[in-house]
This record gives sequence, C-alpha cells and structure tokens, in this order.
Amino acid sequence: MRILSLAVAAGLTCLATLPAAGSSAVLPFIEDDYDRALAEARARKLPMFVEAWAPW
Amino acid sequence: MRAFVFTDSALERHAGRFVWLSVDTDNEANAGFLEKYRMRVYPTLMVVDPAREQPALTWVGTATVRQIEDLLDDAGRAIRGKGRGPDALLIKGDRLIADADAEGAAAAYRQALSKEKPGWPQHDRAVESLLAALVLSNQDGECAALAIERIPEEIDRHYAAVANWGLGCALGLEGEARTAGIAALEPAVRAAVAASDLDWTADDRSGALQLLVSAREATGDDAGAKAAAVEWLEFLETEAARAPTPSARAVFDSHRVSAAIAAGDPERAIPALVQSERDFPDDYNPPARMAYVLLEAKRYDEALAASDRALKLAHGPRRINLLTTRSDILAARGDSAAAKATIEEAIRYAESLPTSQVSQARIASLRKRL
Repeated sequence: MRILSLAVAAGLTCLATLPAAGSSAVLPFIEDDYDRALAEARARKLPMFVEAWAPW
Repeated sequence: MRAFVFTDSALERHAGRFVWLSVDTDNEANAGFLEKYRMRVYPTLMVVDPAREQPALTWVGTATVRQIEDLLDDAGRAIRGKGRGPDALLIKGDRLIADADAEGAAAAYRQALSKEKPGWPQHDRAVESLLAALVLSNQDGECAALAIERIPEEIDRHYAAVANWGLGCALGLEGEARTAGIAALEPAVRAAVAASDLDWTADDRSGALQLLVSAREATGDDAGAKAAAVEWLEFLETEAARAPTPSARAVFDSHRVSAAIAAGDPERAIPALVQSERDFPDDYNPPARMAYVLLEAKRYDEALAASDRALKLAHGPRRINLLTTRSDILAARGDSAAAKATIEEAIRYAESLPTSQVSQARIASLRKRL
C-alpha cells in the first residue's frame, strides 16, 4: 500500500476514472477481455496496447 | 487519462497500429490478466508482443498525449528487440519492470544512462523510468538523490516529473535525509506548479499540489499545509467546473475529497459527490466517497446510509475498503461489536478474492484491526 500511496502522492495514479460510457474515446479499446484482444492482435499481427487502471 | 488523454483526437491516427485493451483492475474478470502481468501502480501502460505474450514496453503512471505518442513510436523497436547500447538496456529495463523485477530494471536503466551520449532521445524516459523502478524497489533514498542530481535546469514537463518523483521519495525517508530531500525538492515542485505553460496532465498537477501539502505537513507547518490544501482544492474545483462532460468532471472527485479533508473542510466536497451520484447511479464511487467524507464530518448516520448505497453497487477489492470505512463509521458511533463484525466480513470477502486482487499483507492488516 505504501507504494501505491507514494504513487498517488507523486501524481502517478490517474485521477479517479469512470466507465467509458459518456466519454468520446478515439481509440477502439476492448474492455476487460484479454483473450479477445490477444486473439485479435495475433490475427491482425499487431502489438497490443494495454491500459491497466483502477476505478478509484 | 481515459477522460482526457485517450479522447484526444491527436491519437486517432494511431488507432490502426495496435489492438487496444482497457483493463479495470478491480474487475474480477481480469484476475487472469493480473496473474500474468504483475503491477502495483495504476495506471500502468504496456505494449505487449502478442506472439510471446510478454510486455515489450512498460510505462508506470500517467502520460500526456505527447508521451503516449512517443511510447507508441518506441514500441515497434522494443518488440523487434533491435535496440543497441543504451536503447537495448532501456528495453531490458522495460521488460524487467513488467516482470515485477524492479531492482533489476533499475540496474538496467542506470546502465542505459551510463552509456548514453549527449542528445540521446530516450534520456528523459530513461530517467523517469529509473525513478519509477527505484520507488517500486523501495529505494527511496536513491530515488531522491537521483532526482536532485538529474533535475534539469529548464522547467518543463520532464523537470516536473523528476521533481514530483523525487519529492514523493523524500517524503518516504526519515530524519535528516527526509529534511534535506524536502528542502531540495519542494522548491522544484513549487516552481513546476507555478509554471503555467507546462505540458502537464491535470493528474500530474494535482499530484504536485498534493505533494506540497505533504511537504508542509512533514515540516510541521500546519498553516502552510492548510494553505497548500486550499490551493490544491481550488485547482481541482476550477478544473472540474470547466470539464466538458459529467465523466470528465467526476474524475476530479477523489482528489477533491482528499483536498477538502486536508483543508479541514470535508463538507466542501459534498456537492460534487451529490452531483456524481446523480449522474452515475450505477457507480459505487460517489456514495463510497460520500461515506468517507461524512465520516470525516462526523455525520455518522448519513455516512452509514451512503455506505449502504455504495456496498449495493461495489465489487472486487474496492469492497474491502468500503467495509473498512463502514467499520470506522460504526466505531465512531460507539458500536464496537458491529465494527468488529464488519472487519470480519471484510476478511472473509478478501479471502474469497483471487490472490492477484488482494495481497496477503492487506489481509494481515485487516486481521490487525480485530
């Protein structure tokens, strides 16, 4: 917890985040489905960009 | 980042270069992902090579649009693994940090910086990644010292990042080292905050303002801490007021709660939380924050009611925090038996979660409360 607290203090955690509904994302994020994203990345031969976040 | 950075149209041209995955680390559906890719700071951004299911590049913390674009450009080289000299060492560090070997990553980043030549385009990222690795490997003293040594002369985004990391580390020290670190780095953070033209996310600026509160608290300057908290709160209120959507406004809620409490005026956060609960009736965060604020304001009955609303909606590891807040409310009301029973419920719930979502240390800290 200390590390996370420090990261919060250092401004390194994102300000609290809400579900994507209502936002106008310009990138086609797949939500919470690693297997689907991995399969798609392999099929399209593309790297996968991951944003791991916490909703608080 | 989701409300501001990933909605920036400048990133649209990169849409076809990657498959994009968003992972809510509180969502139990992502337990398998978190077993595979261990991380302790959120957000963490990664570019994963799908053939090997290994991260080729990792970034700990928030990033501006420009930084994201730089990361995306670096990703191809990292996946091909064709970097040489300091670039290869930077890639090695990125892989190690994604494998939870922060100490090894720090060594790789240090080596990269020792081999750089003037004008190396990856210099800033290497320094910031080294600072992150030092934090993650509990080397606060090294982190603060590196920040003091490496802080650039020009006040720009990199300067601000180094100052923020460094002051955060200095605050984790003790005794004279802490005093000296704060004395060296607090003015740097203050200078960054005063620079109005930085390419800085609202997260970064908010984090810097929070650090200034902590620095004043650490030096025993209560009046200074309160003044810094008011400055922090006013910044957040201004940003929230000009947010273009309810989602963009609500992302400031958590820091507004912290700032209002630090300013000694927790009730100042209540109108924002009322608005967010109205805008997002399925989200547990607004009532959860409301319960905490009302506890701080000693309005215990209302705090319990807010806790009830939050617990009806909460899932995953955050539910543990809600239960501990509820226990604190019950204890403050003088109902120690119910407070204890609530902690016992939190322990049972924590033990039912995947190990990737709750640490043994967290469970141990709950047991200590019994």
